[in-house]
Parts: sequence; C-alpha cells; structure tokens
Amino acid sequence: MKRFIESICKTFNCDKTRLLDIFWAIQEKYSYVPQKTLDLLSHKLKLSIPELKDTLTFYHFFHQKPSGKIIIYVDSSAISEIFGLNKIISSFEQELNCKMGEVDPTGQFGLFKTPCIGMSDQAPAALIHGIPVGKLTTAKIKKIVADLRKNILPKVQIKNKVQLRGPVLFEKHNVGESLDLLYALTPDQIIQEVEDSGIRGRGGAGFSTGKKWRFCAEQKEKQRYIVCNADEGEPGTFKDRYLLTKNPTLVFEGMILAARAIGANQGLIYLRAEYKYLKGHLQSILDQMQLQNLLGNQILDIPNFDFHIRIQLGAGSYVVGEETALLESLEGRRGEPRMRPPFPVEQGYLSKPTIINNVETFASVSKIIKNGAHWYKKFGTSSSPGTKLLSVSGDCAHPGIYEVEWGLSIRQFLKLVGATNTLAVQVGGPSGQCISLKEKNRRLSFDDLPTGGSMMVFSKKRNLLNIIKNFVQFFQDESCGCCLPCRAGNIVLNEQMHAILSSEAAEVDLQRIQNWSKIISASSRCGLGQSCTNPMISSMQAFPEIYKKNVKAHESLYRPFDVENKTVAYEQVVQLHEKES
Amino acid sequence: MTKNKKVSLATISLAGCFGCHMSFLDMDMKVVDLVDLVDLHTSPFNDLKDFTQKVDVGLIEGGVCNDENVERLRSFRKNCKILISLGECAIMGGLPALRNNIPLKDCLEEAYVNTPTTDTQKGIIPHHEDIPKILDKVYPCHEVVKIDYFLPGCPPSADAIWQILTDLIHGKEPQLNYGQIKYD
Ligand SMILES: Cc1cc2nc3c(=O)[nH]c(=O)nc-3n(C[C@H](O)[C@H](O)[C@H](O)COP(=O)(O)O)c2cc1C
Ligand code: SF4
Repeated sequence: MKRFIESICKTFNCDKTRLLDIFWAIQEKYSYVPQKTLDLLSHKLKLSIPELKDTLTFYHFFHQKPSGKIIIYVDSSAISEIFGLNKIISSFEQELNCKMGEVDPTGQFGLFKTPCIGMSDQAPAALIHGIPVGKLTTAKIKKIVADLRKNILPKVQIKNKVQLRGPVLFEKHNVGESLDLLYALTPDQIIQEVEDSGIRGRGGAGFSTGKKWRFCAEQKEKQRYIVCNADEGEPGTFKDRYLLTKNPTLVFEGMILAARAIGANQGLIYLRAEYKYLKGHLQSILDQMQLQNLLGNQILDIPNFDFHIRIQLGAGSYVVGEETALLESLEGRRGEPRMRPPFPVEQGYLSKPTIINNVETFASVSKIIKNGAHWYKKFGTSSSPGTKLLSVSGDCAHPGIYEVEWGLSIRQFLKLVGATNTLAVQVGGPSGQCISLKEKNRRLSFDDLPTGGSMMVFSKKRNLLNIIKNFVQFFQDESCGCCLPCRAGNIVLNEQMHAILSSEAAEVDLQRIQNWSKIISASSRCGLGQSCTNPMISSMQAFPEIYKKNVKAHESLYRPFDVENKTVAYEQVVQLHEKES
Repeated sequence: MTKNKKVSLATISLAGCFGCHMSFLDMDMKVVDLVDLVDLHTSPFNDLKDFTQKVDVGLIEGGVCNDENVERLRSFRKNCKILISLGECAIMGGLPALRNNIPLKDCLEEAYVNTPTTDTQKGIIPHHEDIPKILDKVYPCHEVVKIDYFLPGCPPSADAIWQILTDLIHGKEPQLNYGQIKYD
C-alpha cells in the first residue's frame, strides 16, 4: 500500500489541489479509501487527517468502508420516481441479494441511491460501475446482474434524442470555425462582441457573459484561468451531457475564445463524476485539437497564445456546481461555497482572476463569434437574446433535447413536447418554479420564467406532493451545511412535507412553511439555500387546493409518536445481555 | 386567560438536569411576589406527582428519553391549557441528545457494563417492570405533543421565566426582549 500511495502522489506531484484525483485512484484500487491510506497521504501531501477527511467525506462517490467492487447507483430523482424507482430498487435488491445502501454478502456489489445522473430523458436509470444505463426494467436488471456476475459490464446505453434542432447550436459548424476569427479580432473585440450579443449565462444564474469577461480582463493580476462548469447537477437537466457527447469542440472553442479574450493560458473543465464515462472521449477530442494546433502552444501560430485544457473529475455533489464551491473542489477541498466578494473574476482558481461559464454558454459564444452579435440577437427576445437548450422529461410524448428561442410560452412548449393532461411544469429544476396551466401564457425568459434547461412535465395522474417531497429531500441531502438556515431549515421543511403527506399537518403548518422559507432564503450563503424553498412556495401558490385538501383545520395536541416501536432497541439490548449472562 | 386572576401552574423535569428548575428559583425575592400570582400544582417544588385538576400553564424542563417521559408529557398536555418548553433540552433534546448518534447498545454498555465498578459482579443493564424503558433516541417535547411556547436558554434566566409567567398572568402575548435571550 505504501508504495502504491507513493506512486500516486508522485503522479500528481504531491499536489494538494489534486486530492480528488488521488482519492479516485485509491478508490479504484481498493474500491474504497482505507483509513490507512490517509495516514500515508497526510505525510506525503502535508495535510492533516481532518483536512483529508474534510474532502473525503464531502463527496457521495467516495467511500470510507468497503462498498463493493462494482457499485450500482440508482438515480433517485423525481423523474425516476414517477417512472417506477421503487420497483427498480426492489429488483436490484432481489437480484443482488442486499438492501439499498448495503453491500451484497459476497462483497462484490454495492447498491446505493444517488440524485439525478443526467438521464431523465430515459428514466429510470442507474450508474453501474460508472456506466449509465437507462430505461431500466425488471427484466433488464436481471440480465445486467447476471452479466455482472460473469464479469461482463453493461455497455453505455444513452440515446441522445434531439427533438428540435434550433438555429444557433445546431447551425452547421466545422471544427475550429469560430477560431478563424482569432486572426481578425483583438481580445477586446471578442469581449465587445460577446457583450453586444447580450448573452447571459446558461448555467442558471443568468449573469451577463460579456460583463463577466470584461471584469476579468480588467484585473491587475495577469495569471488568469478559464473554467468550464460541466457539473450539470440540477435534477432534470442533461443538455450539457448532449453537448459534451455530440459537439464538445464547440464548447472547447468557446473556452479558447475566452482564453484569448482575457489572456488565460490554462483552462479546466469540471466534469461531474456521473459523466466519468465521457472523460476518455473528451480527452481524445482535446488531444486531436492539440494536433490541429487549436490547443497547446502558439495556437494557430498566434504569437504568445498558449492555452491548455485539463479535465477535472468531480466526485458527486450538487452544490459543487455553484461556482465558488466548484473552485474549492478544483483546489482539492470540500465543495463549500465561498463568501463573495471577492468574485471569481477577481479571485477565483488559486486566487487568480477566473472566468467560470456553463458548457452551453461557451458553445453559444463560439457561434456568436463566428456569426456576429447582430446575427445572434435575431433570435429570442430583446431582454433574453438567443436560444436555450432544454432538457425535457416527464409526462410528455417527446422527451429529449430541444433548442428553442427565448420567449417560448408554456402553451407552445407543452404543444411542442406533446404533453397532454398536464398538471404542472417544473421550470428550471427543483431550484426553479412549479407552475400550473393557469400560467401557460408565461414565457421562458430571464424576466419571466428563467431556466437553466431542466423542464419536467407532470400529468394529472401524478401526486404532486410526492414530487415536491423528493425535491425537498434532495436539498436536505445536498446542503453543504455551512449555513444553519439551509442545513436545519431543509430538515424542517422536509418534516413539514412528511407531515402533509401523512395527513398529520394542520393549516398553521402551511403558514409555518412560509415563515421558515423566508428565513432560509434570506439568510443562506449560496444559491442552494436561496432557492431551495422555491418548489414548496411556488407549488403552494400554484396549487393551493392540493395543500388545503391534505391539511387539517386544527392542529392536533398530540403528535404521532410510537412508543412501542421506539423501545424495541432497548428491549433487544436487554434480551441480548440476559442471554449472555 | 382572564386578567389578573391567579394562574394555576404545573412544572416537571423530564430528561433534564433540574437546572431550569434551579433557575426558576433564582428569581430570589420575586418568588414571594409569585406566590400571590400563581397557584402551584403538580411540580417537583411541592412534590405533587399527579394532577388533581386542569391548570393554566405547564412548564416542561428536559426532553423525552424514556417511555415514562412520554406518558408524563402527554398527561401534562391533557391537563394544561398552555404548555411551555423550558430550556434547551425540552426544545432540542439538549445534552442528553448527544447520545442520539451513538447506538443504544454501545451507550448502555458503556454506562452499565464497561464502566469500572467496585461491584464484583458483571455489570447488568437495568430492566424491571417498574423502571422506565429507554427510547431509541432523545426527542424534543414538540415531537410528542403540541408545545405552545418555547423559552430558550440553558438554562433560561430567572428573569426570562418571570417575564413569560407575568405576561401570561396579565393576559399578554409572552414576549422576551433581546437582552433576555442573548447569552454572550
Ligand atoms: C447549488 C448550485 C448549483 C449549480 N450548479 C450548476 C451546474 O451544475 N452547472 C452550471 O453551469 N452552473 C451551476 N450553477 C451556477 C453557477 O454558480 C454559475 O452561476 C455558472 O456556472 C456560471 O456560468 P454561466 O454564467 O455561464 O451560467 C449552480 C449554482 C448553484 C447555486
Ligand atoms: S446555502 Fe446551503 S449549500 Fe449554500 S453555502 Fe449555505 S449551507 Fe451550503
């Protein structure tokens, strides 16, 4: 073990910022990260054991005890849930002969739940030894497990179904085409073009991309970085998966343009661990681009224009998608959001000015530079120019990828995706808004209904409260915990949701939810805490009758509290000791 | 509550350390005033165990750690018009709830079996039909019954307890000012 740890540390130059890679390497060898390795790492990396554990325990995909040589993560998103998650779990439990959250008796297989793995268009899905498999059925699971027992891994089974090819991202494009403009445009002109296009970030927060680039370019410090946020953690989205699978060069071109614009020589792609299977593919494209002189030193023979891109694999965490948490993670620490200011453009990766943009933002920028801001502004609305990739899932005839112009109404959207008998649309994932058909004239845009791309459709046969409960549970699980209102508040909301679902809540509880929500969203550090109350609050607004129907008028004086059940543990311990003596 | 009528009061300590009750007594001379304002019923102060009538206000110290606590708390709920969780343990489980992250078996063995003792026999885990059964975890009171008010502090100051009681006696919505709930 000592030699192994030494060799890994050597591979990564004993660089603390590569701790995630080091843990991945250890886990790949031992199928978990043994305590003993921490002692060795501590010595090598000059990090204390608590510091190492800080990182190790933060990420879902790192295990501290043997968790199976082959780990199966079942996608537990709301979309999986409506398409039969429980049945899928029982099938796995039966085939593997172990319970959810456990390792099978042979120690070969581990079975765990994980939030959305970016496969909502083919739910229910699971990651099997890192390989995504969709449209799971009992029969399919039987076959998969039988194969696994014969050491045959499943093949990557992803259908990237594009339902609507829009005018921007699907416009014909030859590799490197946008980079031709590098000869013609100065860095400042690139920024100007991006600014003129009016494009706003596609990752959810919607900050002006041009402004972000300009702020970064204006910093005194000259060592700068470009980071591509490929964490795609918002449940229900899979559009970045699509871009990275089908058109990664478009994304890389955007990064190269950004590098030219601000004078960065190093870029990083933070790839969510759920997309680990794409790493090899992306790396080979990067290598090709290097051969074509589109990456590396003196790109396109432009003097002093050097730019390299490295892929950093994540390890399972939603909040790491938040840009400052992402920086922490890139530096090898737990993904806890930083205080802002300073903003990443001032002090980002390694405290240097850094541009962080979403995958789709970079891809769109390539098109803006290639065709001009004027062309881009022909699409969309005046306040939300351009197009948006949507990841559509749930109860509709045509789930999949759509490129639509901003300004699309919900009515048009539902027609487009073939949704009938619709109850609700969750716009922008759990952190977005839950709307009813009364709001079908509202439009997708930054000033009405913004969306990072997740669009989940739920029909009238669904129990909306179950869906909202899934979202609340998700936020409870994913809160990094550094702000009390977010950490404890989500537990309170989850308990309230549980009470409503089990018909124990009273009308005053609905008011309590509102009160708690105000506190949580007003006093949390990052977007997770600020928006985690959205699903409850917006669904209470859109569907007051559903909530009303499930709560009692008056609060009961006694809470359900099963004493018998809660003394079982004590009786067992007593019996055990009686037997022994 | 009608104004200025004498208020009937009951108190109890569940899984607490009696610190809140001690803090109550810290009222010093105000206790004398209180005698004119309240009638004391079931309470450790007078060692009255059972309710003989319904009372206006019940103060609960401590969380819920065994089946007897549950029974007593339910009886308080049944017999008190207003129930107040008094102090950290009643509100959150407090120090006793530290055991919630440790398996019950380990807890009991540490306390009764593995601890050094002068007794020559092997330690036994107490169990008898007359002694309460320990719950799997320590629970805050509001998970068992509805609690009307929460008076924070570890313990809440005598001043804060006085304030809440006199507010209720005067028919006012109880309110604590910032100083009364600021501890550092
Ligand atoms: C909890 C949380 C999760 C996020 N997850 C992602 C993500 O997975 N991908 C992403 O691009 N942006 C995500 N964001 C937004 C980023 O913080 C940041 O705004 C974005 O990457 C900036 O790029 P853009 O301007 O191109 O959108 C997340 C934000 C929060 C608060
Ligand atoms: S709001 Fe929640 S997720 Fe964000 S920093 Fe605070 S505790 Fe962490």
